[in-house]
Amino acid sequence: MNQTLDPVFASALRRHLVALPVERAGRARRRLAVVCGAGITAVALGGVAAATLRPAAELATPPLAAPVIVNGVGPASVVLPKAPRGATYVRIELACYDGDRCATPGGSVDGPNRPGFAKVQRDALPLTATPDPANAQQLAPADPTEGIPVDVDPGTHWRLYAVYTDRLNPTSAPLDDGRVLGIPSDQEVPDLVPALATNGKRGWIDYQLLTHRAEPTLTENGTSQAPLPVYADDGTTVIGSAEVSESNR
Amino acid sequence: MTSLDEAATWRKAVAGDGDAFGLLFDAHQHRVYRHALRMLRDRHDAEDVLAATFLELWRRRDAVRPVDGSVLPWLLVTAGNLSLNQARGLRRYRAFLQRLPRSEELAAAAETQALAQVGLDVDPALLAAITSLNATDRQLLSLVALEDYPLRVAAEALGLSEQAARSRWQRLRRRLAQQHTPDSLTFAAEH
Repeated sequence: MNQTLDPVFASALRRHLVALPVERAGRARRRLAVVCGAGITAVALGGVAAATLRPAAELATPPLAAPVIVNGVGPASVVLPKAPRGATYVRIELACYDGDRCATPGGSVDGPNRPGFAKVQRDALPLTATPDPANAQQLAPADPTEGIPVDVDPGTHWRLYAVYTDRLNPTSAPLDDGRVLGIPSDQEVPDLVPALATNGKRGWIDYQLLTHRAEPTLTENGTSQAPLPVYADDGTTVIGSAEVSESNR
Repeated sequence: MTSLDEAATWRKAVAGDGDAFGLLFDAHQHRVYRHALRMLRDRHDAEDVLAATFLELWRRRDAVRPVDGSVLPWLLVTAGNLSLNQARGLRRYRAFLQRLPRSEELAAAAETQALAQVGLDVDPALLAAITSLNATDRQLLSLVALEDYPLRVAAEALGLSEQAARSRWQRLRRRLAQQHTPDSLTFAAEH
């Protein structure tokens, strides 16, 4: 078998794979540098200089509108509000709490249902036909006011988190305690993601409690889960709560 | 992989050790490639699936569960899914895959010879049967019939109880028999 695998291809692929964990570790070191860098203008850690000590919420790419969180059962189309000016992508996190298939226009996560173990499909749908060199997918522009397809098996309980942004991969930023806040991207899944509290305040909610570790009660029309606390930009102060179990209409 | 503590190596990779990730690639690249090649019967397509499978291993590292201390069952399941759903599954990596260099020296004749040497002649009826199944049964059959995993390991890789896997397996056998699929499948599953 060995001789049939192209050694040139395998070697190039291996080099790329070996670099992946190192790149991630580099990002972690940069976060640490921010944490440790109070009063220090620049700290070299693994060749990476410390960033300036601006608040994480200022460094992170802001959402262009309040994120949408809806739930449903089976294949569906989720209609979003009109994209705000400047929006070029809608970032999506589709969590499927049962079923074998969890797909959006840009990809899918397939596999058998594991109770208590959500599948999460991450996607970025372009809103314009303007070529983006950073985007390898080259999907046709989406019109979220016409609906975003949720491609799941019949009977699958799902939750969709959607947020408008002006770039394919929004920048995340570290809090003082090392947690990261921001909009999910292909490179980073933050600990805290933007959300709108029921009192109208914008803040941040726990990504894992929204998706992988949500463990909601599955209902006839979607899911049922207690509202999540919404945190201020410090990631700690609770400023409200976010409803995460609204059904898709 | 006999001398390598794979579970520890995987933990090191997730913690940022690139060399550890490289060791896992070294250990499993050929099994994953062969699995894809059996399904696709095209060297370049199988290479694409191999690459996408390891990229998915990294992208979904938080959700990967080693089975019996090995990530190979997860890799095979993923490679199987990607092989049967190339257009969608590989879209995310298309630009990257196009940049990876390929040898031109492997002529078609040599490729054909190599395929024959390694016994990749999977019965077309079996392949057709595999593609006609739902995702779980497809993976169950692939792991057991093509990769010789015991049913217990296949069940764990797929997140099924052993009893559920055995029940699915019995249904599969009946269905394959109805489809006149050659019963070359006495399988490790029976053990």
